[in-house]
Amino acid sequence: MPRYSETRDERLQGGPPPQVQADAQQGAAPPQVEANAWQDAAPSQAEADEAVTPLLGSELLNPADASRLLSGSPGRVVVWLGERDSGKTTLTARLYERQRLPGQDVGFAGSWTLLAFEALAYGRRLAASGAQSPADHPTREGDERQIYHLALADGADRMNLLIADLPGEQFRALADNQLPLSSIPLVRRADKLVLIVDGGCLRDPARRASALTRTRQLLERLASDSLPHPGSELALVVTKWDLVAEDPDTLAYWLAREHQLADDVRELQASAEHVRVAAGAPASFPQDDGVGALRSWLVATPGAVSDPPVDPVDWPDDAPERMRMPWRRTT
Amino acid sequence: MKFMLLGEQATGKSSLLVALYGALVNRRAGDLRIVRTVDDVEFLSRGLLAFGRQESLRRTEVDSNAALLIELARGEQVVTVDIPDRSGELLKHMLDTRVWDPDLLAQISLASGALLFLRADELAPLEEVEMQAEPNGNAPTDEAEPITQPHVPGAEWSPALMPADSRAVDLLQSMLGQRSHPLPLAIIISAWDRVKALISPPPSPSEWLADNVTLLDQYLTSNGERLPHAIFGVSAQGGDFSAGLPGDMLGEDPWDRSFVVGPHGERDTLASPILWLLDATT
Repeated sequence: MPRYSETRDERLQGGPPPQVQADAQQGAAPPQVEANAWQDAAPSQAEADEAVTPLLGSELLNPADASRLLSGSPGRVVVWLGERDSGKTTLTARLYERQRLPGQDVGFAGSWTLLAFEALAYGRRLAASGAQSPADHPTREGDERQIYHLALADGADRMNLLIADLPGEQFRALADNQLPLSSIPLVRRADKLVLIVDGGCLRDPARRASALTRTRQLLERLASDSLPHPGSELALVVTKWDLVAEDPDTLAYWLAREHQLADDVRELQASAEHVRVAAGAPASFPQDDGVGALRSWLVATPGAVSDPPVDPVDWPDDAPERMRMPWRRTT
Repeated sequence: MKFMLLGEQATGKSSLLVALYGALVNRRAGDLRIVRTVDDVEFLSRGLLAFGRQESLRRTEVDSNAALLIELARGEQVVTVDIPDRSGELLKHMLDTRVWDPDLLAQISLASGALLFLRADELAPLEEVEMQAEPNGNAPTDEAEPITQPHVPGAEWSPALMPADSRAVDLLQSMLGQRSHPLPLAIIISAWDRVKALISPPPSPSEWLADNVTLLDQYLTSNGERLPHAIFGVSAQGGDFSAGLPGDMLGEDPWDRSFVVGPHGERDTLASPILWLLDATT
């Protein structure tokens, strides 16, 4: 275990971290939810060690940390709902890495989980270079430190994104109705629920039907648990869009079902967003990667207009006819 | 007034201190002049001797935890300026082990301001710019970011592998976490002579930071109220000694070779970052 992680709990002792206190002193807007909205979450078990003062940002946050942060500054709790390996970690990583590009319309304003983001970015860069990358931050059973923090600023407006993904096992248990959604505080508290369809699965004829089924199962669970609750928002995100777009068969399969699924999502929430994201696409991928649109939706005030949806694919005239047809409902 | 020098190894902290001392002693600091030297300046004298020989400061000299403690006059105003030069290795060790250095922690709430040092040629390799995978979508392809993150094949990730801009953000947000009032910050981009020599026309330091150190630039902009800042390009040596100075510089004294470029590209004296800090704290 690297030395830096040995003190991860120590910084939580003694009430809100100074950054929160300072944010509050700056007149930050009150939190959108009550600070005890995570009441099911276990409190931090930090023990005092007066000999050292740890630096900020070494580890992921637990719900108690997140609650403290939201008590001093406005924020959004974002939860990715998707299968294992469906691209959730890549979405998280890319939201951070994108801030490194010049010309961003929202600025990076800090992160209490800077090191965790950097570890993700390092792994992605190693993987891009062909080297074996270390495993992404694994979700350990019983470990509630699974929340990334990214503060973004649009002029004087500051927004804290608290990003968590539901472990794949939990997603399956939810889909299979072995676990009620209401039993998961993160989901209950979420401001932004993101239903993920794994574009990689869509490419596999043996798994694509299952991927759609899982999404619909989750929609049913959401509906039966009266989610999203007022004030929270829903989005349908197709990840690994490059894998879908570059394969005519996969694209045809998806286009024939996309609108129906999106309509089903909008039945649950009329304003639900629908984004195609190619967060891990290679440099040669010619389309927008969708990360900017996703980020706009994540930071947007509920009800506000976000970026326009990504453009539909313009097929050349010599493309097979079935691909140029508008979507149709399959029976 | 106490100004903290923040920077990891070889980011130009000691070189600036030596050049600043040379400029002050030799009346090349504009309106600012020395009233009294309070502390031992043997380290600074040795540094000036090295610059006179066109030699960079030796490592044993730069990590000696020296300081510049002087009384300065600016018009009618006399201020005592204390600029301790802490070892860059200590700062690196602190960021890597995630535990505050007690002395640095004690300085945070007492300091009137700070100078944060970054090396231009470390943050944006100027000769062999290795571009990362082209970003899709929002950013034009010619604005892709340079790779600044160290790669160590087979190494498990650790904080030591963070790129310099993230480490700077890491340090600043940890400092803000320990300080309740604003911290005026002069960002010093050292080795500016290399930027000037290789980019034509040279960007202003503010433009350069926005283009090459985007994460830090965004962080500073987003936290401007708590981190009022100005960005300076500094060449303490005036050029690269190992490559040989340009002919027109060979006969110049070290304090005439060294230069500072202000936030908007204007050439200024070595004292301008200190003057900016003095203004920002009053």
